[in-house]
Amino acid sequence: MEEEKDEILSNFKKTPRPEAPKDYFKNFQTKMLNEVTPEDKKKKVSPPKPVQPQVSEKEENTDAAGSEIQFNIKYLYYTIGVAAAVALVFFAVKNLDFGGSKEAPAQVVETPEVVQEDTLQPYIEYVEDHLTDYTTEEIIDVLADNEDFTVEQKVDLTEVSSSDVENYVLDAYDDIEEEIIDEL
Amino acid sequence: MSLTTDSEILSLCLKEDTKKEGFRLLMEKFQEPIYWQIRRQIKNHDDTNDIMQNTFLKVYQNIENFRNDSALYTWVFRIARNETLNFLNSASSRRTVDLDPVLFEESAMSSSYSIPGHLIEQKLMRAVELLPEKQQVVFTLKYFEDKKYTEIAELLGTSEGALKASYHHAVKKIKELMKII
Repeated sequence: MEEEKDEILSNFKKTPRPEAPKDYFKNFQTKMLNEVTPEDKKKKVSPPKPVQPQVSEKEENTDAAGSEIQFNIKYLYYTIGVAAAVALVFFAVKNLDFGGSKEAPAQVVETPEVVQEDTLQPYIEYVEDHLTDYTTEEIIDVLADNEDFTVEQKVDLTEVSSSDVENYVLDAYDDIEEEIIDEL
Repeated sequence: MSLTTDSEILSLCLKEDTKKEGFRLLMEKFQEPIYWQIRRQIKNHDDTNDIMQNTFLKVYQNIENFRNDSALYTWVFRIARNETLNFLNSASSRRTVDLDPVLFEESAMSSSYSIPGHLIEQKLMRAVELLPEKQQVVFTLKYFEDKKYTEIAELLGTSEGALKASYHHAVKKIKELMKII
């Protein structure tokens, strides 16, 4: 890994890092803390209570008309909601297979992750024992995506050195990610 | 490097009476790597400082919206990256962004290769931008900041093995990308 870094480093010269002004980070922190404090205070100031306006008779009539419109809109939404629900129920019932078809979709659906995780368990345990830096999730991700490794080859990991396994894990990552590079 | 964990910072930030203290710890932990992340792209300190302010102000205002689906640093990194891109995309910034004269000279002087050093650096930066976010973060911290895996692991709250894998793939991908960019 270090070699690869060196290789890249040798391909171009890294721009030397400029200096940050003296005490910049300390000052920045203080400045930001001061900047956010007034906002907090602003938030904490309770807003003035709204004054109840004097409502004239004419305005009351307008309110009454408004509430009637509101009621109509609510009624419209209600009707649309009920119609949508009825339509959903209709389509759901239509798609139900009461006859118990031989090719019921529920039976076709597989749960590959669970199955693969079980298959992978001995490998995961081995890799975790030898490569403690890797988390189970990462190992599952890598190994579960490689069917050749887990299903067809049945590699006996106990006879493989941990560095080989590490390389294998890294290469398996590469295989998966090569597709992304191709897309790019 | 601060030993405060993401969850400690978050729990402080999410309570009104300790939010400021949480924010202080967050800045203490993240401000330096974030500064260099921005500065590497912007070159100029004053503009970097502006972007830093916008970034951390957004962090403060939106910390409640952090969904914990990535490391806290990655979230701050993302905000900083977006702020930097906004800055670079704005018409005014395009007029005013200048390469740091010292850097520019050093870069030009150092180019003993067929392609000028700053062009290769631009290619590298573009390649880094095309990496998945996690690899971007890891590569930036490891390669540009020369941080140790233990430090990055502490910053991102992840295992060293995962970091090594991410860095390994980032390097490989960058090498590929550098050929086609």
